[in-house]
Amino acid sequence: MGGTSASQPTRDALAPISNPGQLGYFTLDNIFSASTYTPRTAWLPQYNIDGLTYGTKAVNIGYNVRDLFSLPFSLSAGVGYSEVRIDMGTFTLTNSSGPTPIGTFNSNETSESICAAVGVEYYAKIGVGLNFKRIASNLSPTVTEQGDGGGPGTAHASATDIGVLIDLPVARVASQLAGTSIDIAPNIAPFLDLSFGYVKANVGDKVVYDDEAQADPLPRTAIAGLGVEFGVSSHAGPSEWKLASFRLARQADDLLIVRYASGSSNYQSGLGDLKFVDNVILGKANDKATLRKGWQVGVAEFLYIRGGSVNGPGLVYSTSGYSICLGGLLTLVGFVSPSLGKESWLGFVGDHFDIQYHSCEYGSTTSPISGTSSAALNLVVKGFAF
Amino acid sequence: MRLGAIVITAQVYLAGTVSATPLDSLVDFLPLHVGNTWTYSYTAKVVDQLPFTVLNDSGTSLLSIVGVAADQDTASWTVRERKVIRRHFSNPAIPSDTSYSIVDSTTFTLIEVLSDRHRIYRTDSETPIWTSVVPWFQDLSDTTCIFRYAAANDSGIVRLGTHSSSPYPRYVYTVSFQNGVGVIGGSTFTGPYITGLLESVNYTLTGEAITSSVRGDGSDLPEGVRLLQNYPNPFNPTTTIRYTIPRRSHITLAIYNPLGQLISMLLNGDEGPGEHAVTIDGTGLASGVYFCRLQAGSVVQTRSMVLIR
Repeated sequence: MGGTSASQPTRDALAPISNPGQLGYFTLDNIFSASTYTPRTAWLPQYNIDGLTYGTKAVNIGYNVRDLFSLPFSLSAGVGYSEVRIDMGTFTLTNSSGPTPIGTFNSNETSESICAAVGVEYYAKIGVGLNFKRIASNLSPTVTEQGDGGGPGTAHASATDIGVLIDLPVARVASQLAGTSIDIAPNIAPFLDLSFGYVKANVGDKVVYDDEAQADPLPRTAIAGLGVEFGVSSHAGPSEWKLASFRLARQADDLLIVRYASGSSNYQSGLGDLKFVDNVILGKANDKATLRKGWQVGVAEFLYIRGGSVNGPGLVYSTSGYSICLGGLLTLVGFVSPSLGKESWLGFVGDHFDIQYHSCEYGSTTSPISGTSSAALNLVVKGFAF
Repeated sequence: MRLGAIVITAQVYLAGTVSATPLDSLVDFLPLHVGNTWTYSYTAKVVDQLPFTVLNDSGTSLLSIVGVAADQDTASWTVRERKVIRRHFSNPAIPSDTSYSIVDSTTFTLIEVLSDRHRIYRTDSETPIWTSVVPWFQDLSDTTCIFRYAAANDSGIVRLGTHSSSPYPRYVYTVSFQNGVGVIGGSTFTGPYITGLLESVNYTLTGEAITSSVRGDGSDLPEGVRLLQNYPNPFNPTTTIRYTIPRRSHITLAIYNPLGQLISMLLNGDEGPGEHAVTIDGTGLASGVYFCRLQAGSVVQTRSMVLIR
């Protein structure tokens, strides 16, 4: 969906990486999730650089204590761990005398993150979270061309992401407030959900490799997005099951760093160059913010087809992908054949487990990101009460 | 997002075997580099038709490569040649080690060597018009012969005239001169000449020729598109990227970050065959990995670079 995951609710265990508020939202209805890329993605394959790969994995756990404490609203909390690693491949070491190789080295960057989040559901579902990240950058075994001193070209930094995700089920809330059913068939009702996400990512110190005077600022980024999803859903089961859905999403990112010709830099405050009305609501692109747009068609929470686009400074590409979800399939089986679905182990599995396969591919006529594709497996456990 | 700026300086290196005439001597100065100059010896093919002493000249010529001609599949260079067009020593007793002048593409200069001093005449206009050899200039009473510069007439011929006490001026030398290009040929005597006319004058005429007909046969040209590793690597803040292309092609050379985001388009245009180099300054960029991507026609090559501060 054009990389709009910071502002669209999802059960993907990797989602808290882009917005820690996703974990708070997730734990309102789910207990556990885990995900990993399968296999690591060949990153920017057009470069044809051996070893340039990208991979990520995450695990999350949380619980909704509403029933435990007989609360009038849902309250959940969760923690998660994630790792993002990009291997840059093998580099050629040269000195200033010419392009003749004098050695090789490998580069990689890793971000490990602990996520802590809380979720609240009182008409709207709200997730708020923090990512505490430890970033290790191993660019080179040496900062000098001869490799004789100066230390390694490595750096470590700590950063924090702050995120919030709000999902407002407009139709359901309206029905509750009005005290009337809006069912169009037994246990089937239209739904309209609005979502909003905001993240300030990579808040922290500078990154020092060699010379502290030339330290780089962390790529602090402001992210804001909106989404709308509508369709029809069934509320016959323990949780809402979306029979057919269509989602539109729009999100904008802005790197809050301002660089000067002297090499110095500064951070912008607030949303930086991101204009919420122009970029997010009206969808207007500018030369500073990265604008992301996406759509998704869902069938019975079993099959999702997605598309999107990214348009930012020096970066224009499209995304396409799909997801296949076992949980939705089992729920569909139970919907079509209630005896098979509800009275057998299939029903139990469908109510409590979901295994999802996500696939995504980037396309572009101008960016070397074209052809990059990724796949991930995601396990979700839900609906258990302790 | 505000991306840092990259400062680019470009240089071009060419290689090849020059096969054209009359600049065969260029083969001694390969590889050809735009902006580089060479000095080589030559012997002028001037026929002494005068009854007085006009030396068959030999000396040096200064060559400079000023550009790459737009030939599709061959190495072709624009060459500027500065050389002595004619040197005349009518009186061997007068020192002949006079320097010759440097001219640009629309002028040439005549140095008149007298026994006690030199006089220099040159054009002040980009489009001087040869009017007439009459009236003759006689700027100095002790000068028996003064040459004046001139631009081309319709036929592209410049005439240098002499002054004498005779009422009949005589041309002693002609030079082909192309406006905006410079001297492109010459050395035709159009006598008759009056014996003794130039006897007391030494002179050296230098000119400048520009030709784009110097072509390489391609034997030393690169066989294929090749993007060489930047050097140094890692770098801070400057590094040089060299690449070769076998024939004139439309190329793009760009820097991307690991997100696939275009950081800087270094080159986007036609390039001649040979080896080229671009130096980038990453002062405005963050430490990290960058990818340099060369596309020449359908060939794409990428190199990884690391900037570490």
